[in-house]
Amino acid sequence: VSDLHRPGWPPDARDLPPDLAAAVALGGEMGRRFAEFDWTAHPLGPPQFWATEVRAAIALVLTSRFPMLLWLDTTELFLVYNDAYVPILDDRHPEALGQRGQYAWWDVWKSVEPMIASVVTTGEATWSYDLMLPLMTAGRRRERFFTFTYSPLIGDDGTTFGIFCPSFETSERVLSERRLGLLNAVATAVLDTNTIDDAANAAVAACEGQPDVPFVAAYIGDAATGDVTLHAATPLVRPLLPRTLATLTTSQAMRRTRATMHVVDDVSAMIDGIHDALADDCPEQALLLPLGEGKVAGALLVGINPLCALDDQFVGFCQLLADQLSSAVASAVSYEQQLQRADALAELDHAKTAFLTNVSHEFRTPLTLVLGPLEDALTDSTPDSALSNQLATVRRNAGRLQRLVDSLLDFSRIEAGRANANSICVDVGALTSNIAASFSELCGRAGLELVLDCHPAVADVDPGMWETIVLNVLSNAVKYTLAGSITVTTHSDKALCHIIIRDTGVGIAKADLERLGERFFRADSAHGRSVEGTGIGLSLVRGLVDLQRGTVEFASELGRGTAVTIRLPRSTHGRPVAHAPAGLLDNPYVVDAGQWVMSRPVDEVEPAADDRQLVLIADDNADMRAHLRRVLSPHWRTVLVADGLEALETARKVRPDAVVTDVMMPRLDGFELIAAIRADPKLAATPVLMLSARAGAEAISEGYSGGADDYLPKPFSSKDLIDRVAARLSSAARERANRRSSDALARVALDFAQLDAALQSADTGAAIAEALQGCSFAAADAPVICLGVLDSEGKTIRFEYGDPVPPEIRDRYHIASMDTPIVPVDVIKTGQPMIITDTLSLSPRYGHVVNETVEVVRSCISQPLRGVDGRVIGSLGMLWPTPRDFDPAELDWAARIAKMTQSVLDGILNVQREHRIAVDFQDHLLDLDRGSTAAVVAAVYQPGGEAMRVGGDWYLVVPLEETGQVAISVGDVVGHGLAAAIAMSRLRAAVAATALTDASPASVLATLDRYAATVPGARCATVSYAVIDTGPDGRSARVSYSCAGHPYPLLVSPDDPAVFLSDGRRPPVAAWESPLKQNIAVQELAPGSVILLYSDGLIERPGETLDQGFLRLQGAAEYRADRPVGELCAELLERMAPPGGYTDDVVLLAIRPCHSAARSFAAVVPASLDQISEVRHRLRDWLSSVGVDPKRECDVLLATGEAVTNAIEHGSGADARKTVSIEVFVRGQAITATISDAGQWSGDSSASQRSLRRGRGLTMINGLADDVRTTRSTDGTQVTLAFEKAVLPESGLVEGVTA
Amino acid sequence: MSRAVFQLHVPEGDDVSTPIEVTVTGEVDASNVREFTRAVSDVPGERPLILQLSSIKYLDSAGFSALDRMLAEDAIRIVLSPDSFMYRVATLMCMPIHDDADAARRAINEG
Repeated sequence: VSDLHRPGWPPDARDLPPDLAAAVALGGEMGRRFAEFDWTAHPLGPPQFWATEVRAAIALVLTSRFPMLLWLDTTELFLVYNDAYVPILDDRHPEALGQRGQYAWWDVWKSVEPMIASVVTTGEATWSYDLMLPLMTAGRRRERFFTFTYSPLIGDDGTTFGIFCPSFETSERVLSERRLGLLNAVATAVLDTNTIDDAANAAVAACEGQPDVPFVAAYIGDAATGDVTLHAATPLVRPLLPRTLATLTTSQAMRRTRATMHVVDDVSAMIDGIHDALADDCPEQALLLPLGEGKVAGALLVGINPLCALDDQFVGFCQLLADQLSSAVASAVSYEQQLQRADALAELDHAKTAFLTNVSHEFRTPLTLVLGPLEDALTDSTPDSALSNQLATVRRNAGRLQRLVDSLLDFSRIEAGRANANSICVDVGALTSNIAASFSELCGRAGLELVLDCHPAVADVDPGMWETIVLNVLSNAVKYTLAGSITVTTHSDKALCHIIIRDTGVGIAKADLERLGERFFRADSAHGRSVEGTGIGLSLVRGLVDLQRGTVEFASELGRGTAVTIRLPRSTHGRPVAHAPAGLLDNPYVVDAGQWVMSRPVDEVEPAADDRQLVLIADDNADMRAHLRRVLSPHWRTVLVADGLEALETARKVRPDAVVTDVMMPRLDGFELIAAIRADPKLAATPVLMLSARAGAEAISEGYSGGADDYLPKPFSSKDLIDRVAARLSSAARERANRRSSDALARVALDFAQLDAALQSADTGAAIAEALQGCSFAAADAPVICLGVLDSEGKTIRFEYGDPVPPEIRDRYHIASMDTPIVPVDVIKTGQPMIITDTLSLSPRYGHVVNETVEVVRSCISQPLRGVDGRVIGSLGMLWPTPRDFDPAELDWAARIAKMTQSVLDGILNVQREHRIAVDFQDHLLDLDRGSTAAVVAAVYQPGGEAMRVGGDWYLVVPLEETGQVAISVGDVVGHGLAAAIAMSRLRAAVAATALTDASPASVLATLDRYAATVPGARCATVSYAVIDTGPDGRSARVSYSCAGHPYPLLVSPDDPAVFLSDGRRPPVAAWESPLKQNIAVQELAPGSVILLYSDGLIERPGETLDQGFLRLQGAAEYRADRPVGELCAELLERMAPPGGYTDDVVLLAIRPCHSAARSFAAVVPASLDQISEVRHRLRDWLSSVGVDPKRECDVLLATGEAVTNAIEHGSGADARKTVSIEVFVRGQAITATISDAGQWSGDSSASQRSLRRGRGLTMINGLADDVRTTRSTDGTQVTLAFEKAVLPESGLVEGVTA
Repeated sequence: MSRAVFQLHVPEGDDVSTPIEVTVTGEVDASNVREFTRAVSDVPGERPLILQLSSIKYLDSAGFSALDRMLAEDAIRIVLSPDSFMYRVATLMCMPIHDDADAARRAINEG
């Protein structure tokens, strides 16, 4: 220990100098260990004596988070490292600190030392990327990979004093990449393998030489034996492995399940001699993994890389390897299964051919025994007798059967390869010409031209087979050629004979052409002469031509024709032997083809005219047609047709009583025929009986589902056929009888259907009543319809009448509470209908209503109406003015009508409920304050088209404290929907609140400018705002207003043209600056004026200028100015609507200051009885001023007074906060008075009729006024009274007026 | 605010002939019908009395109801001259009226 002391350094040399002390404090574990290390005992000595650069390097390393190592001293190479480096050292830590390099890194020193030496000597740094160092880790060598650099540490004297080594371990990435590469290699290797062995060997080969898998072995199950045997293994190991998995695993204590992975800890113990085989690469451990599924399940044994830990990554890798092989095994299994299936199919095919051969043989014997005696019988019978005709039919069809059997037999022989051609050298041209000539008579009958152009062509053929070939092709040509020609040409060139048979028939579609000649394939064609056929003809041709060493080729175009070209090798030796075919005219091919073209005898078409029922028979086989006629004609008249199309045409002409049809027919098959019959209203009811050779439940059900009334599989007995046709005919007759009796019912049904249509279009209770009233029913004395609708709370019933009833009754019974003693209430309560033949005989309980209505109702039926949930929702009353009895039919239709009505009513109520929710929402936002007595106000809101109900338009009325003043506003926030509605309601509230403190337009608009700037979506809203002041005497009314970007208010004065108030215009709120921002205007109002505020939706129409809209509104408003404001609003809304309705939402507000003018009067009073005389006196004064006829003054005063009293007591419940308004107009000599309240009139009008007073009130109103109209809405009730000739004419203007 | 006002003119003095004839003027409506009813019933003397309504300026259905109850109690006979303001309405309401007081008296005396 030295006594050398530097200032600021600890006195004890064992303590660290300040720079290192600071570094170790930041150095974590290694900092602590460095500080605690006894450096005084170390060759490097105490740190206080270390050079500055050394200390700096140490400080750098200790404080870094990157793995770093220092080798100090270029010969001894002492280690200093940081915390990040500890995992690299693993169990060498912490001893490695201060240790010499060769001891710390003894296991890899051989690799490391040369690099260090080179740095020390040359000063050049090394760079190692992903270098593998087999470090001892946890007692074993492990493959570990590092990316690092060695660089020199240079002191102040220029010499190297150590080596700096930042290092990064990359083992995980390197190993993952290597294993992924192997998995890819395996996947690629197994891709094209088809067998299990190939797949296993390819996978094993891909693993060869890979360090991660020193060896692999695949044990795979055998689907047949269940043994799990070795299929592939690494070549070095394969000889050491047992053949079966069972043997391999007996030595190991492992579970016998194949589902789980198993770790083999001692590979040498499991596999003898493996250590010698693999030497240093020999793994200690192996993994046994499940492989494959089902019967082929086995195991994959994978040796573990001895330099790798068996960690999760390694296990995962091995599992992926096993999975890959498993999927390869699975696809190999399915490939093998497909191979087997193909073999099995081929086998099946052989079996079928063998079967066909046997069956054909078996057929031949009985056929021969049928044909022989048949020929004899035919010879013995009298020619042209009925018997001989029948026998001829039998022979023809037995011959046909024989031909089919022969074809089948030939065919199956060819298939089985047992057919041998007895070829002789013949002139195929002459032979073909001979054979073809047998069709000439037949072609003539069918209207076909048969052209034979046969040049000599010598070839070796079996004449019998050739005959079959030509007959088959020709009969096919005849079958599918309806018009034109069939041409047969033969010629030969040097090598080949060409035989071409060409027709102008229907041709074959391209897709079908490719399959032609396939066994049993039949091109789908309904356009031939017959659809009979087995589908072996052309494939037989092909087989037979093959036997002649020839080729056959089909060329065809749909609609143009077909050409069959047969080429035979030309005979090179010998002379042609003359060969003439015999008996060709009796050949079954020709006979059969003759059936298709047989012209029908006349009697097949013309049914004998008698009164028997007519049966139409459709079948394309002439024999079958004849047979059916023989069977059916003794019982019914018959008409015969050969195909479906003809059947349909004939049916339309002769209207058969029943149709018997085959299924398979040319042109239109049986199913298509039935569909056409069912689609023709005149034929639809005709019973159809279907015949088909296709038997089996499936075919029968197909027949019925196709629309057949009955289905008879062939063969059938004659009796069965007759029975079935008879059954069909009699049931059809029954149905006809039923139809006649149901005609009357149909008329009733039609009436109901018409009523139903009328009801369906009804959208209100009133419309239902009207629709019911309009229906024409049997009863001559149509009842008055009275529809009662129960409100949603079940407290009151509202009545709608279909026919005008006296207004008194309508007014008294428009609404009734559920405790009123009237019939509909009880019907609704009990849910039971009431039938009253005479109201006067009803119990005293109904005395009052009976007396009240005795003029109108003396008998009635009242039905409860129920909703879909069974709840009673109303009643349907049918009222007659005279007593009457009801017959059961009438009661029945009453009940039916009630049923129809209730479903419609229920639907309407549901719609109304939904509508009300939306309207309530808007109404909530836009309540109209009618509290002001300064003016009469009305407003309407109309939602725009399809848009959401809520919108951005508002109206507002604010009664002001100052007597005679009221503020009004209409505004429009940009946009629709909830967001606009919210912005709208906030602006509206702001207008209302500001108006209450300072109502002047300047103040309100200024506040709104400021406020709108803070409300989302409120900028640029347009507003018109006005304050109406009726003045102290009501005669000097004026309006001060400001109109912020909004359409101008319209002023309609009694004697002047309507004007738009445009002087007070200014920009929209919270919008651009403008000198007009404070603009306010004032306008005097003549008594009787109306001001209209509205939103742009009212006047705007697409394609129009705004001025056009303004003009339209001006005209409409002038025309209707002398109406009460409520009516004015409603009318303007209707008149201004664009065709197709408003697309934007619309707000309209009308205000009429209270006044007494030359032709009008308006007053608003609080709903208090104290007010009635006040308003009466004002009205009386006004009446005098307009020159009322004194004789009618009392009428006007009394009726109006009664209406006001009603409005106060019933409409407003005498609530003085509510108001009642009165607007009276003089038009010519007439006076009309409209009394409005905001009440719902939810009170009980029919109950109050029991109160005599109100009854008298209504009697007075109706008795004194010439016309009374009551309009009720959710906004309130309006009663309009009209008094004709109430004003005295100015003298001399009207004739006949006496003093 | 001017409420409806009516006046009852009851003859005073000892020589008043029975039945007593009370003349009503002014207006009767729903706002003062109670006072009217009370005032009529407060008139002393025999019943029925004669209610002279020819000069009344206004009588609404509330008033008619009040009269109806009085008639039912046989408390009044009503006189309305054919040229009076309310005559047409009373006819419309089918109210039993007499053209003049004498006719009303005769009716009372005849029972």
